[in-house]
Amino acid sequence: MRALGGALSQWLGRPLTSLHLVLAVFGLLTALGLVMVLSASSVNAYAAGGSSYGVFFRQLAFAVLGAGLFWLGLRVPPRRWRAASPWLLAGCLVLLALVLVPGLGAQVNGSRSWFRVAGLSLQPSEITKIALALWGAHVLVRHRPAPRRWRQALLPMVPVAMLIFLLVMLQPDLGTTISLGVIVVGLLWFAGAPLGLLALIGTLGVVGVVVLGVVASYRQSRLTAFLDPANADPLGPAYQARQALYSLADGGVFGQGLGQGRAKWSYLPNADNDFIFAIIGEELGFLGASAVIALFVTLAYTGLRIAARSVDPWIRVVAATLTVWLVVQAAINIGYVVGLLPVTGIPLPLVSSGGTSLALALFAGGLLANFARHETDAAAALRTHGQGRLARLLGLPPPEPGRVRTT
Amino acid sequence: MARPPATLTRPPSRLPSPRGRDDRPLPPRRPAPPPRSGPPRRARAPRPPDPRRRLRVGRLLLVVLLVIAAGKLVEVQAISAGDLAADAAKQRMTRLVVPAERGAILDRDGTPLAFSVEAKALVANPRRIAADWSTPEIRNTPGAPTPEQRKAAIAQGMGAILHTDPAPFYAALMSDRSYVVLAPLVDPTAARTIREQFPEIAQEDRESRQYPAGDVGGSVVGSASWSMDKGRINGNVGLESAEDKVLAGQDGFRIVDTAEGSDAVIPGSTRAEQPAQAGTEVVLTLDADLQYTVQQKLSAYVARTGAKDGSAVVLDAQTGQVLSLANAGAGGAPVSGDPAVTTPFEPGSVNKAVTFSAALEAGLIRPEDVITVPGNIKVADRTINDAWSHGPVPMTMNGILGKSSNVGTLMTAQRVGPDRFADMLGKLGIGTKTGVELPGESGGSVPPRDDWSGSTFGNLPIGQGLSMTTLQMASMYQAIANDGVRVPPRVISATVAPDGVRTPTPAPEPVRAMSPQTAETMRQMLQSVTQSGKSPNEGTGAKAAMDGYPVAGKTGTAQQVDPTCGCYAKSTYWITFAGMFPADHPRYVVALMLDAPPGGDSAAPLFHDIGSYLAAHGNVPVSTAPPRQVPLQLTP
Repeated sequence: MRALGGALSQWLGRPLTSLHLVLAVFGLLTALGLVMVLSASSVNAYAAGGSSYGVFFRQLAFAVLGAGLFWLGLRVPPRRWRAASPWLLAGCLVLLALVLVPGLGAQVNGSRSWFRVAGLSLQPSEITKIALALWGAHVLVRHRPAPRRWRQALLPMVPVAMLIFLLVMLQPDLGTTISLGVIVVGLLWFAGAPLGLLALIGTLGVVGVVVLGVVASYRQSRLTAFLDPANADPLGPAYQARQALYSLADGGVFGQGLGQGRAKWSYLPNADNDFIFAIIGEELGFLGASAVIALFVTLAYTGLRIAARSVDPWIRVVAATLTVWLVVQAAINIGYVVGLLPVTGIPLPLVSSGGTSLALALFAGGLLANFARHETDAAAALRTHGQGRLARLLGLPPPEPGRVRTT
Repeated sequence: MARPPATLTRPPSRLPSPRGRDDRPLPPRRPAPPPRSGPPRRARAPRPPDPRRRLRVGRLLLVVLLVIAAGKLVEVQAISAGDLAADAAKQRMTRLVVPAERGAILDRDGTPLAFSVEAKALVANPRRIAADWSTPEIRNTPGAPTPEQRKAAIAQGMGAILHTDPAPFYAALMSDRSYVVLAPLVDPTAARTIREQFPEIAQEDRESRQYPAGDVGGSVVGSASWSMDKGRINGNVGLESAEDKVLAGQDGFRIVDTAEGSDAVIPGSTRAEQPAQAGTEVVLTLDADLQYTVQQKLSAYVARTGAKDGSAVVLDAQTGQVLSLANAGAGGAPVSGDPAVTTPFEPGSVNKAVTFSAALEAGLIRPEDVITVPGNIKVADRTINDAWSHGPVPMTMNGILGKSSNVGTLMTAQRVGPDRFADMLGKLGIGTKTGVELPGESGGSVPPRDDWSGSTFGNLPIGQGLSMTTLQMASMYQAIANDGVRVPPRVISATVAPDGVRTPTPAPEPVRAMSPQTAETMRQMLQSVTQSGKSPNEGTGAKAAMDGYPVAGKTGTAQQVDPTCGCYAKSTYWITFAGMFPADHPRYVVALMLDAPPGGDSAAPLFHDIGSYLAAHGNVPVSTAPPRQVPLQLTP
């Protein structure tokens, strides 16, 4: 045991461990996601289009697109991403405005959030999450060592974020708004904004979510269904939450076996996206479900480890924020599937069916991997010993020397 | 929140924090921060936060969130999993009925008279269709049909596929109901085509009962149709009803998980299963070809004579099995029910066979005995005439039967006496149900012996005042054909279980009605009826005679009761004929009844027609002996 612990700590101490962990976590979650999307969507896809693979192939296409974005995130040096971040965000704001125009944006389930391009649906609000993280970190780390005054922390990021919230709530999409809020809080926290400001924003954010949750009737019914399930309409919002618990319980410890789940036979709505964790729990049991949680714990550890080992403050803030975004989203998703939170349409990153979400999560993975290569030790090791064959195959440039001071 | 001393900005973790949480060493091989000339000390400004502390707090929060979720997961998947899984199983578990295929009804050679095929009922929910095609999303889609247009398209498509008028479909779809049956029995292939084109249409399992011979044998076979209550084919009339339990079999079941909102079975989810026990096949004694011909000839004859209805029964002379049983309504139309076994009538002179059988059995007469028969006879308070007016004439017994003399018959009956007559009537099965398997059988009616008044015995010997069915009439003559042994008629010869095991119907208990000698003498005497000859030596049923076959039979004409006065009507009659051939060794017994033909036509020509077909159909050898000729009436 002691020897094992020693080996583990020795492995954790190696310069490229962060990079390997990022590759492993993103690879495993994406592969598991593809398998489970195929399993969860097979019945509905067959009923809708005559092929069990309809939803799966679309997801696979986005996984390929996501792999390209992963490579892009890994290939382009961090300083270029930082330089490009204002333009990225500006582009996202234009797209968010355009998607609200009927005819340009497509409406699905009451939200006008999608562009339909060549048969694929693109969700600009997903791209905005990463653009906001990159740009927010960019403007916050200009204050060295930290934005000490409230005004420094608030301007110019918070007004821009409010504008984005407004555009997203016009779709309307509360789930994405919550994710964006998590990103804003994460940016301020890791950039070192004053605690008082964070406390205020946190309070306002919670109040805002509750207010937004109550004003729309469908969200309110989800909320009351969560708070008072006994009196809720059993076929209403409480139904979905109930079915999720049923499928988890059916899975037990060892699961029904891959593909053997019952919930996807029209019992559990959105089995392949919002509630895919329930299907994992049903088919792979507690073992599979807890493995997914363990992978997200590993992601939390790795992402924040990369942040801690980065000397570039922009990388530190971006790495930490992206990690928080992915892990909090996973925690909220798992939280409402297991019945700890009211149902919100927040997908499980990398796993849920949903193209843009998967592609952008993989892009975030590419950035994290890039940052992992730019950890001081990793960069030194890669420059000293040369890059591996895979890195040469991918055409990766050697990491740039760490810049302690960023202007 | 604890903060490091204000003077320190980095690296803080090298120094113990006030709460002692940061005393872990730095990860090894971590480069020391570059030497610095000293961070600016700004005691007055707000203390800058430590980025590493914030990372650690962030990591802690993330892990705690996930661990809480994992804790709840343990609760759901392990601790309360049993109750939840039981509820989940309850909502998915479905008991699916596996319908048992109804057994076929076959004729004696295995020709199907009734069998079942799989069919589908096409149903729809018009309200739901209207709602689904009225949602804002559909309405905003350019080119989407309105609910009315959609329903019209469905009706048109169904009409095209089913080759029927689409208007009833459209009317049903436009009704404001949540369940309509658009087509009750649709071929499964057509149903699939329709459902592929129009997913709004649902199907339900049905069974369609086919009668390939049409109305032929309809009186015996009856009919069956889908019962919504029982969820299966249910017999309505005839053997379909009487043998319903045998034919239906036993539905099986499967306990499975099904998809929400449908009966789609989730693969591999069968918990329990009991296969359906298919229904038993019923093999009849009927001969389908014979049945068809007899039905045709009877219908044509009823139509030609203008009778209100009529019936015909053909029995196998030895076994008493019913080879054919036909009914016809006015104009030869099919009738509902089976009057040949359910509706008795007064037989008239056909019943004289009882009187003469009893007299022969008692040794009171011989066929060639001659008695002088007056024109009428007084029995108690009634005077009975012969059908033709005559003075006292010497007639043989052959002649009394062949010319159907009421007076001569009653004179003979007086010698037999009511007791021996009643005994013979009972042995020949009159007043008792034959026990045939068909539903609603009547046993006819005979006044109880104790109630007989003086005039009763002036009616019964000539076939008035009692009633019998056509089947009973045939059975009575079957006893004469079968050397005095009456075998009660049966219409089911065997049942064939789904496993192919054939169980013959137990033979009914035979009844000896008369001695073989009496039966043989009766067959000879009855040939007098069909005897052709110069008047007065011609029988009443000469038209029943067949070339090459001696025919023994008896005509009958019974006055019907006029319901307006309760008395015997003067002009409406039951016309009957019962007979057998070849008279020396009978193969077939035929009984015919015509209800009130306006012209009072005899049924003898119909016997001739049916008999000729039977002779060919049954390959009956032609008799070479010359036709029997006996004196009926001696010239006075």
